[in-house]
Amino acid sequence: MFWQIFLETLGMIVFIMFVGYVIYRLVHTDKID
Amino acid sequence: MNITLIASVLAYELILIIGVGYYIARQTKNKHAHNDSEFTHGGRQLGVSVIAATLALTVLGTPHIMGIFEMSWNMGATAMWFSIAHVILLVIVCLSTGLWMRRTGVNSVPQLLEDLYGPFIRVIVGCVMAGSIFGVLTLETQGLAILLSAMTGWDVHSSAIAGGILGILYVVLAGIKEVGWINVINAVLMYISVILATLFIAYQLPNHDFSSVTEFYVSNNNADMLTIFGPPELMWTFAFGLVIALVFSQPANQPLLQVCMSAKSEKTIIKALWIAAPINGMFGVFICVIGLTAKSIPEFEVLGAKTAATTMLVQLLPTWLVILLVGSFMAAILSSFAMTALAPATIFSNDIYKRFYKPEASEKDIATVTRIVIIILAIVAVMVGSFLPKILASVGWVLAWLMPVLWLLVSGLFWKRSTIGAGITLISVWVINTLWSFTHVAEWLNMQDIPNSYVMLVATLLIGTVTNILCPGLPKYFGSIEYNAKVLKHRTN
Repeated sequence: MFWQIFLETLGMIVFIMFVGYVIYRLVHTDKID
Repeated sequence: MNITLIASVLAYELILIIGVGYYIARQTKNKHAHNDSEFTHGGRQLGVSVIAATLALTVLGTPHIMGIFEMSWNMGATAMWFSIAHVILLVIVCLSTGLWMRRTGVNSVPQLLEDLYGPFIRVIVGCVMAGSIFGVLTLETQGLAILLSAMTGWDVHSSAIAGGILGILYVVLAGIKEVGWINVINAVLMYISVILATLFIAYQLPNHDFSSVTEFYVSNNNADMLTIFGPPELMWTFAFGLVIALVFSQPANQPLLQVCMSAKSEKTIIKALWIAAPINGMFGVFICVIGLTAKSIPEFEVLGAKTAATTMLVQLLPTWLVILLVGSFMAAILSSFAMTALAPATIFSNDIYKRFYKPEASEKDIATVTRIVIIILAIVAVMVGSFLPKILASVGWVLAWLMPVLWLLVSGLFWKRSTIGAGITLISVWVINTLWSFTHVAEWLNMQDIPNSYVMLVATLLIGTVTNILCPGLPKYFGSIEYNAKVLKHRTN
C-alpha cells in the first residue's frame, strides 16, 4: 500500500516536472521578452 | 497530553525562530546590507536552498496536514491530487510567472499590473489580492489553533493567540530571509519526523508492514482507495477541479511570486524547482498513508475522520517522536502563516504606502510599515480564526478571485494591454464569482454540480478575449518601449 502510493505519486511528480521542463525549453519562457 | 511534550515543542519553535531571526537581523545590520527591499525580498539575493524550501513550504500548510488526513479517510489515495495539484502549480510558477516577475524587478504583482494597465488596476488588484491572501491566513491560524489546542488542552482562543505570536516571530525579526532559513531547517525536520513516524506505525501493525491495511481495504471492496487514480467521478470533480482552481489562479498570487522575486537570479528559481516540487509533493504521501492506516484499525476508526489519525499517532508513537512530529506539523503551518502575512503586508507597504503616501520612503521605512502591517494582520487573523469560521468551504470562491488577475498578467505581457478591457474583465468575473457562490444562479441553470473554478475559467477567458479584441489598448509589454526603458536598460547597466 505504502509503496504503491509512494511510487504513483513520485511518478506523477517526475512526469509533471519533465513535461513542464520540455514545454519551457520549447517555448523558451526565459528568452521571450 | 504531558507537559514535557508541550514545553519541548514550544521551546524548539521559539529557540529556532528567535535564534535564526536574531542572527540574520544582526548579520544584515553588521554588513550594512541595506539593499533594495532587504526585509521584504532579502535584497534579491536568496540562494537555491532557501528559495526551494520557502517555495515548498509556502504552499504546504494546514490543508496539507489536517486536510489530507480527512480527505484520505473519505476518498482514499485520490486525496494525493491535492499535493499533485500543488506540484503543477510550482512547476508553472518556477518556469513561467516567477521568472517574469524576477526579470521585471518588481516588488509585487500589483506593481507590475500598474506598468501594464495603470494605477487603477494596481489598486483594485492589490486590495482584492491582499484580501484573498488574508482569507488563507485565517485558515492557517485555525490550523495552528486546532493543533496547539489538541496538543496542550488549552481552549481554541488561547491556542490561536499562542500560534499567532509564534507566526509573527517567524517573519517579523528579519523578513523573508528569516522565513527562508527557518524553512530550510524545518523542511529537513519535517521529512525526518514523517519518515520515522511512518516506519514506527508500520512496525506496530501485524506483520510489521502495511499488508493488514491493504487487506482491510481490499476485503471491504475499497481497493480503489489504495491508488491515486481513484474512481473517475472523483477524478473529474475533485482532482481535475482542484488542478484547474489552483493552476489558473495561484501562479499570479503574491506569496509564491514574492519568493521568486527574492531569488538571486532566474536560474536560481529554475534550480529550486527540482528540490521544491518533490519536497512539497511527497510530503502528502506519508500523511495519506497515516490517514488510511488509522481508518483500518477499529480502535481509531470509531473516532471519525477528524481525530482518528492524530489520536493514533499520539497513542502508537513514542513521546520523543510525537514531539518531533507535532513540531514539524507546527513548522509547516507556521511557514505558510509567515508568508501569507508577509505577502499582503508587502502589497500594503509597496502598493499603497510607498506608491500613494510616501514615494521617497527608505528601506527602513518600508521594513517598519511591513512589520506593523504583519502584526495587525496576524492579530485580526487570530481574532477571526479563533472562532473557527468555515473558511475551507469558501476556498474555491477565494481562489477564483485571482483567475482574471493571471489572465491580465499573461495577456498584458504577451498580447495587448487594454486598461478598459482589464477593468471590465476583473469586475465582471468578480461579480459572476460572487453571484455563482452566494445566490441560486447555478441551481437555476441546473449547473450546481460543475465546480466553481470551471465556470470562472470560462468566464475569464471569454470576457478577457472579447474585451481585449474590442477595447483600444497598447501592444504587449514584453518588447515595448516602456519595457525596454524600464527593465532592459536597467539590466544592461
